Amino acid sequence: MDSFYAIMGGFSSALTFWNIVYCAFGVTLGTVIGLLPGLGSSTGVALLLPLTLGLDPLAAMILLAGIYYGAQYGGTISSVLVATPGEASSVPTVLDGYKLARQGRGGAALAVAAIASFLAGTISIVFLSVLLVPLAQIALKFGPPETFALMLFGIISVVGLASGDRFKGFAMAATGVLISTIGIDAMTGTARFTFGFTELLNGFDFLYVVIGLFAINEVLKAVGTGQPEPLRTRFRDMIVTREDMRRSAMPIFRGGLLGFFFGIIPGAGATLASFFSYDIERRIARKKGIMLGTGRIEGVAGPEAANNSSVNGSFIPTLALGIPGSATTAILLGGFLLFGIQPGPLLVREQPSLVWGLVASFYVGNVLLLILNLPLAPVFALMLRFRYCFLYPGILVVSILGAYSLENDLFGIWIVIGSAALGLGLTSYGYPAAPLILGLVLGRPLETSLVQTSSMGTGSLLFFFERPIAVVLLALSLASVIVPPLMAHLDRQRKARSDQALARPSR
Amino acid sequence: MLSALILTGAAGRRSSVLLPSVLLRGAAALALATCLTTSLVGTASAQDGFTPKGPVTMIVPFGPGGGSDLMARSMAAGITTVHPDVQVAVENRPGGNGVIGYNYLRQNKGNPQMLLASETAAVALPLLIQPPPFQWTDFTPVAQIAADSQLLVVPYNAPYKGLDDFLAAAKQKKFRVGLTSTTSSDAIVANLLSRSQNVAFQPVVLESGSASVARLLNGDIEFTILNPSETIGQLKAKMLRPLAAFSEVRYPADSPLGSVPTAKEQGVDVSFAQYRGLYAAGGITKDQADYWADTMEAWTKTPAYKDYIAKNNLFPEFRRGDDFKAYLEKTQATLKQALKKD
Repeated sequence: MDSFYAIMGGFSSALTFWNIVYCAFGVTLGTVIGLLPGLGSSTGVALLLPLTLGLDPLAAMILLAGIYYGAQYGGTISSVLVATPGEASSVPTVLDGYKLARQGRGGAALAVAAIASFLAGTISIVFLSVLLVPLAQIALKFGPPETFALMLFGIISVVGLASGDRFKGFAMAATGVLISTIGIDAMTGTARFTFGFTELLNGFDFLYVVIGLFAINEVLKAVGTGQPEPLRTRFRDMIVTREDMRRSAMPIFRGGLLGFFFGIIPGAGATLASFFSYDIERRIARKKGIMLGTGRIEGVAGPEAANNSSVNGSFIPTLALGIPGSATTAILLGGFLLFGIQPGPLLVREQPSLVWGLVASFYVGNVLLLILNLPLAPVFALMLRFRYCFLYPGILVVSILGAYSLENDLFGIWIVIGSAALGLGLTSYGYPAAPLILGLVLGRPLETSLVQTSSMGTGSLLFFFERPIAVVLLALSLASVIVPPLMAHLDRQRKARSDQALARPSR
Repeated sequence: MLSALILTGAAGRRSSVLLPSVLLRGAAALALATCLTTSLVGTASAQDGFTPKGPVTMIVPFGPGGGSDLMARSMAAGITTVHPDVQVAVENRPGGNGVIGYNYLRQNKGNPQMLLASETAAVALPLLIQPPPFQWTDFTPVAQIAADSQLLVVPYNAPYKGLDDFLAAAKQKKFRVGLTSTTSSDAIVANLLSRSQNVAFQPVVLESGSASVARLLNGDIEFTILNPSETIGQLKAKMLRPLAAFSEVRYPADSPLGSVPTAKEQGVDVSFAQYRGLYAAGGITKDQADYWADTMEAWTKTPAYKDYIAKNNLFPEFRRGDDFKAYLEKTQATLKQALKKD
């Protein structure tokens, strides 16, 4: 009951006129930031943080948190319409969302994404408000061995997602992991594979690769196939149908739960959550004879629900323990310090109106995002009716500008162009791009958590066996490598035997 | 109007986005408005020869919200307190453990209005990266404004009550220590402790203070070494316990850390503190450097400075000019010793 009063108190602080205004401003700005390629939520929050210093702490945090989850939604718009995810966690949305847009159903995809974000947000806020403190303990359980095992499991079980070819998926994921080793090694401070370029000390920002591999690649492909006419879709096709909602309901529910629990785990929670959610939906749909990746609404609903609710999950260790759950919440924690507020386990007790006001503002923000985006979805989608001679140069300009803005450096643009060329070659031979992004994003944490595990075991990897959660996850990873080929082999044998059995009587 | 355009251009340059840059421009226009009114009312400062004209930039070689960012914003506000007509724009240029920000300062050689919020990385990075990306002598060290010391922190329910129990236990079993990197100041302290007491620790590089705190709370490491600001929340909540401070003297009695004995008090001769201070670009005149050092010195006499020191559990240490340079030389020598491979 305590938490009920606490969250009600939170609503009374969040629902003042100005706080609603700041929340609305935050989510709108977040949507725009997410929409622009090259700008993710962490950059957006970092840029805006200094400008909020004149506000009172709750208003500032409401605004910044609004940017955070607003950006998750904005990233969806660009993923669906122009195949440019603003965050690694929006990559799975491209797979079906962009196909839907090409079929003239972009408006529906965006509307479903808005609804999915709203519903998943609602589920996770309920969890967040009731179980804030106990759930924070789960975050502590996930140390380096568990993180390593989880990421390995993630990469292995998810690589098959875009194409059916597991070998090609693995090859691309491994390439991603290799690219992630470029730059200063976090463990020893040694520069690796930089060939003397100071620009490479920081490593490859995955956003450069995403812009090249997705946005520019799609433009090049479309130019290559020479589609002469823009989409001619009726407004009616743009609007979400009852059938869409029926098909999305379960994916939203599953994605929402999955995203929330992955969000609690510090590290690459949102990315793994949305990739996992997509993979689960793909497997479930396949049982029903539906192929995801061909423009199915389920492939948008699940990952979108997952990445939105992971934002709320990531606030659990942040608010309850003072340990950031994601890159963006780490910046928000720094923001607390700038306001003279000490984050930590006592925050909930010492600053209840700040903590619960912020939690309540998530709810307000989700409602605002829904109001903002549901009517706008078809309008955004109408953009695709522009003639290609206007649309494509526009996409190219915005993508390249976005890449430049990441570091204000031309070097990034060369990486974008290189990845676009690489992407064009690889995708035309059926190598899927999504696993490369997953490998690139998870490569660093995968390597560091492995090294950390070995040092925790004073040099021995047998330390994994002292950690039950890690052992289970590693066993699952092993199983997902061995079982499918084994099953296929057994199937073939059984078939051969029954063929023989059939063949024998005729002899 | 022309000066307004120049100012907005400069303020908008670093901002990489359309929208925030519009906001920044708004902020710059506001700043300009305040500039104009204050310079009309207030007297122009009569420092010999040099007064900054137009925008002053303070680089933070790390991201927003960290200790360096906090210092930069406090110093920037301090400069405006001392000289109301000088406005400082704080710019975060993170990356490469600080190399990117320092390199940017180096590219601005001779520009007296390009400042940087500096800490020990300035003397450590040239020792760590081969070939060195820069030397601290490429810049003008203006003044040290504070010293940031560190604490040895263990779980609250750990059996040892002091450094002697702790070291005795560490000789029985190789203790794991959470570090942010193998070369950061926490690693330097761990190294100094290990050498002076002849105990070996197992380093676990966890990349951030908050990750160390999480592992410590879960019992995955035995201890860690943190800046007070990284862990004061957990200390107050009695989840973690400080065993020793590696400062020369104790924290002030009215601070929450006033009861923590120093390592020296406990018979372990190890002390180390990161400096926090202001750098300017290299190749500026003595007048220009003195202007900034005077400004910093005036700021340290204000209540805002005392508040910054108290809130962040720092030690008020001020050095300027040649004093500061001598201190930097000494610090670099200590670091060289501590980072030497056995």
